[in-house]
Amino acid sequence: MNNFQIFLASSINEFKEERNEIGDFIRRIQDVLIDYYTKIKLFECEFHDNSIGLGRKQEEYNKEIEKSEIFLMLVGKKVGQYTLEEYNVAIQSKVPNICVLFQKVDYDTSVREFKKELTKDVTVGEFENVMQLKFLIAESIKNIIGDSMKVQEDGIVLYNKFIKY
Amino acid sequence: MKKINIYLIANEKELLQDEREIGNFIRDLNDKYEEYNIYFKLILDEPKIDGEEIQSSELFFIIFQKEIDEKSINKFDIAYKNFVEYKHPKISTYIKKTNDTIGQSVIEFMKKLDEELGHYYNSYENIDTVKLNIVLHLKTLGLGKIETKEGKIYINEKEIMKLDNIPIILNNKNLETLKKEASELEESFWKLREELKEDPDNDGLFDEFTEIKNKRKNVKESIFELEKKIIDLESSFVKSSTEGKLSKRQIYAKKCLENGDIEAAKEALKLEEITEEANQLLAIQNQRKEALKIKVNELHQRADTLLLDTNNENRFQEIEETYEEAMRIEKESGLLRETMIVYANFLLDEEQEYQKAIDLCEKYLRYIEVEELKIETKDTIEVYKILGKGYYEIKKNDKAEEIFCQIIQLSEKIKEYSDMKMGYFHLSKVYIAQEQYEQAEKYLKKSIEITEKYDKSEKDLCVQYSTLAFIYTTLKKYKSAEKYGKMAIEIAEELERKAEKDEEANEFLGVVYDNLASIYQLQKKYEEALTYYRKGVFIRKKLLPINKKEYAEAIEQLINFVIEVEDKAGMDIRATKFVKNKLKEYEKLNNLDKALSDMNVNSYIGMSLLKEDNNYKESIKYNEEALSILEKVDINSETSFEKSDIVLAHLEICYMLAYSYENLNNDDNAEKYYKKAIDILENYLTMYPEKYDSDLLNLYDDIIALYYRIGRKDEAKIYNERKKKFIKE
Repeated sequence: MNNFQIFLASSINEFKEERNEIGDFIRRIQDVLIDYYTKIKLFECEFHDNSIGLGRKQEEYNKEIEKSEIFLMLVGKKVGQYTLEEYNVAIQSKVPNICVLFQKVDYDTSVREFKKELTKDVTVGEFENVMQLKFLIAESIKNIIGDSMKVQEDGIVLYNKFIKY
Repeated sequence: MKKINIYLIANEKELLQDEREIGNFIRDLNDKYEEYNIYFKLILDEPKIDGEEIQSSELFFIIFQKEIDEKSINKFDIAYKNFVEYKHPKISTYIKKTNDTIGQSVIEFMKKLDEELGHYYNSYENIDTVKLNIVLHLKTLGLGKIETKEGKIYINEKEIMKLDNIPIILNNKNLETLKKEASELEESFWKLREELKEDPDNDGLFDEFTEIKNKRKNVKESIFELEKKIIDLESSFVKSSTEGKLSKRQIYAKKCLENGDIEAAKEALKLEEITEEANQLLAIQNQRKEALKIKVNELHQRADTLLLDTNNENRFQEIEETYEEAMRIEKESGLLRETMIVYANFLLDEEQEYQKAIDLCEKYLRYIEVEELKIETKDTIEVYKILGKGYYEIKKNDKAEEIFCQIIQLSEKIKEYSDMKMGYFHLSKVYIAQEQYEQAEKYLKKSIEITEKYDKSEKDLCVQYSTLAFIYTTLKKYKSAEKYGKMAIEIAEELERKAEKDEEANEFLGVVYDNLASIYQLQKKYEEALTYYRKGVFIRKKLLPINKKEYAEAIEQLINFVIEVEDKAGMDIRATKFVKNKLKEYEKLNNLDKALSDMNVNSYIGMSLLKEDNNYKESIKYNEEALSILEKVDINSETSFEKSDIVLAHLEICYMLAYSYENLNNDDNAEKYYKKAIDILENYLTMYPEKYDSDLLNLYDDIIALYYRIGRKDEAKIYNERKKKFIKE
């Protein structure tokens, strides 16, 4: 089984609905990939065991970032301290695909400052709605999957099976 | 990888977000179950999906809010029908609680679930309720270890969801109180901790901190215990709801708990009311059990009746089918499974299917153990008796020894002497089989002692004395052997006299005569031996023709004895041995072989009647019967008899008939059978030219003599010519 992991970094409360949609979208991709011996894992801190202490928890998250193929960061009005730390870990660990997606909203200073720090290795995108968000995520996944996957405006075609956004 | 399909119908657009949450939850489950090689596939309801997808799913969820369309109801029906028939998919039905008015379609569907199907439907406000249901279903499917800890659910020690939004947790008053207390204690704990850091030598503060710390720990444990109990209850409820119908009482009590009203739930599940209803059902069940028991008894009676139907060749097979059916009914109805033992007895006594009988008894004993049933010691002994005899017959002497020792032990406990006697007797037989004659003697004597003291059964005593005589013979203690042999005869004679023409008593006496004869023979007391062998023959002769096989064997025994000790039997040894060998195989023979064996038995009796007693008339009777059997047989058919032996037997029969008829002055028949005998022998020698047989010369002489005697000289000359030709060739 070929395994690859996507680390999803964002403020949990701000993007609750989007995270659900992304999770469900990944599940549908996974349902196709499983027949081709490929496993795609979405790591969200929401589902991770919170029983460990806060400091140690972040350490655990950092380890997960290091072993991810895609680092996906959703940015809304502001960038939180932990999300920023996760981004830095991804950069330091040289995660192959780092993708920062900004929601089209009024940002605060933290976002503006963060934008200045972005390097050219980072894929940057903007989204207004979940459809657009899924489109951008699909493009990142295509970098891993390759030609078996086609990204369209309304959905993806994976091994000749259509998955709607 | 094991794939588990979960089918979900959530067709209303208002439920899209819930559907996606479930999808995301399933994705997370897949990550958690990755190392167990299990993959959950969520099948979302789409028009192109057919019934097969539903039937192959393990779980089926249907969620609705305001309306439910016809197609969804049809799919529910497919799932429900499949569940009733095959116990899957496990169905969960949810209605989402909102402020919107429920549509007519939903009202009708709920009515159908309530009144027609008795299927429980849940309601939810938060999608976590559905997620928990999925998790608890996984538990019922035996997938993973599911635990509750600090308000969260863990699968295989990985956190899967929080319980904050589950109504039965959320609305539980006791839990709420405990959580409130925990929160206050938490606050005090940290506050005191800080204070203690500031003032570490303050003993009063330290004591207060310790007290709060312990309370905090205890309250946390109480919360943990209560949450665990609540989830266990929820889990049982999910299991019951997927296994079959739930009662209205259960559903109502569950709703009360979800609303946090434990008193109302308790009231709904009132002990007295449930007990009373259960007692009524038990009474009905008992009546049904009684009726079923009668059916089982009827089947037993049918088996007993079939056993009497000796003309029915298939009766054993029919009896087996009857017992199998009785066993099935007992098993399915929860009746005591006694048929196993009745059937095992039948297999042991009637069919000699020892291994099958043993297997049934072992199965019965396991059943008794697993069900923790208490059966009477006497009944246990009955089972052991079958086991012991079975093991003895299949020569598993160690097992047989162990079982008979248990029988002795149990029967001593309840002072059941007949079983004790039987146990000792069979134990001695096991030792005889192992050639441990001293041990055999020891236990047989114990058995005899019980018979002599308690039940005084003459028949048993006779068998015991006779067996003891056998043991002494083997041990070369002939004096004792003689003593017990005579004691056995004394009883057997009495039994035979009382029973008059009873086949069993007759044969029994015959056997004890033969036994004593052989004891004398071994001691070279030939006169005495001859007396008892003759007695053996004469007693059997009394019952002819029903025991002709036994009679033939007794004569054969007598002849063998005479040949051995006097060497002047004057009998045809070849024919004697032929019969002897074939008789041993008799039971194993096919139909044709049996016919030929019957023919031989008849011919042998005919021969002995002729040579022992000169009883021509009786001899003719048996030989005619032998001939009629032989003439019906196609000697070219597949049989274990040598063709040449059959031809020779045919010749002997014809010769004996000719000889007997001639002595009775029935010349026509004498001529007929001499001619027949000559034809047979001539043909035989044509087939086997290397075999010269002087019997043919004797036959020619016999028929020539007959023709001369009755004045038919021309025919005498013809046979004279044939004789000369034969000699020349």
